[in-house]
Amino acid sequence: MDFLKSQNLIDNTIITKTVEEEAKNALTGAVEKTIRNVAAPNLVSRYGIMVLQHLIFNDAMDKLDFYVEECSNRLSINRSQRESVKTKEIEPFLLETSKHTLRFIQPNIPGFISSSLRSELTDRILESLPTKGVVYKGMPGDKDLTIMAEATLIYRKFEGKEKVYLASNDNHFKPNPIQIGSYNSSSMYYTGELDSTVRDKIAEKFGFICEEPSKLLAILQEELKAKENTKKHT
Amino acid sequence: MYSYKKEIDSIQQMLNSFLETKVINTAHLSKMDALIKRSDLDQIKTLNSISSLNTQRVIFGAIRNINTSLKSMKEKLRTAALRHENPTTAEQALELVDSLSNVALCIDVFNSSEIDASEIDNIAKLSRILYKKAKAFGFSEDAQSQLKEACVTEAIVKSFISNFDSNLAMELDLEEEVKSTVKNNS
Repeated sequence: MDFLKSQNLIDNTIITKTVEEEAKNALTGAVEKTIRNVAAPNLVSRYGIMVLQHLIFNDAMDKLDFYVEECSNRLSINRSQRESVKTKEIEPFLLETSKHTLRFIQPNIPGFISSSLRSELTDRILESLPTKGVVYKGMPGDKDLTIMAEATLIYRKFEGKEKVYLASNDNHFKPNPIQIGSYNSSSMYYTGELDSTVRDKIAEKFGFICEEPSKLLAILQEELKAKENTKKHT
Repeated sequence: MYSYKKEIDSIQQMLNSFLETKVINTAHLSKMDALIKRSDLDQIKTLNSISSLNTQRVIFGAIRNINTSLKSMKEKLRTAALRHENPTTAEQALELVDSLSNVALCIDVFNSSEIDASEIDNIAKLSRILYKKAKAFGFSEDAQSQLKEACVTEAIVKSFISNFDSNLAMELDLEEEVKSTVKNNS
């Protein structure tokens, strides 16, 4: 956000009310979980923790306010249109798509096979992706669907003439990391590869491109460089 | 029954008299002491209540915002009086009174009856407005002195922040990747 402000791209950065509310909810949830996690054996230490959380929470809210007020723009969103896009377009599309996706790859290799052969077989299975399976987190929640509907409306507002990126760390939006084994398995790991199949399908159908914020920043920096170079040559 | 609102009204009268006479009379500043002391005690009382964590946080924050604003306001008014300042500080203090009143009224309602969740959200909003306004006028205490007064050590701050970062990642739906990183590190 600071980069966008420094590049005078505030008008191109949109934080919708839903996104702002989600950020506030996330901060509230995180601070409450932290209070529960931290041991406070007596009233004095509990008082200390409450003072600390009060300071941290307000500081985080100050930063959020700064990003909303000084680094971004807000376009009007028609709520009935948003509801219609969400329930009639995005939700059915993702319900159908997520029927054919996997949360992670679980190679079905018998236990007697040695570990070196096991990893080789796992590699072979992975090579056959995406024919073997598309990795996606599963059906998104209500708020995520609302955010997708808002991104669709924003894309349509520009009649497809502008690229619309949606920055998110959530696997419902960005390309999903390929995970081997279930979360409960001690040998679970990430291959380091990303499966962008669902992200790309969403982009193709609804126009907006979801990406991790740090990667999106790199994309924007590249695009700005390319623009500057074109200006210099003309 | 003790009323935060009545105390704020009396502080408002005091500030008005400073503006009328164009003099900050430090002898009158002790009018703020009762509410400062009461809000000191009520912060602790809130932590001993059986309310939900969200309610405790919001009420604690609201009372603390009143408390720190008043303490800082009193100190600033005292310094302004020493400088024989044309009461600009009193004018600014008076501008904060509306926000203080709004939160004080909520605390009175909370103390006298049970309130529902939507009312708690409203208190959180009003309390945040008070916090921002007090900060903008300089009627706020710096974080370090607040932590020192609350006996919060650097180690506690570091541990809390690290815990908070992990929980925020979980709230943002990064829980699986966070868990995996923890596993890989251990």
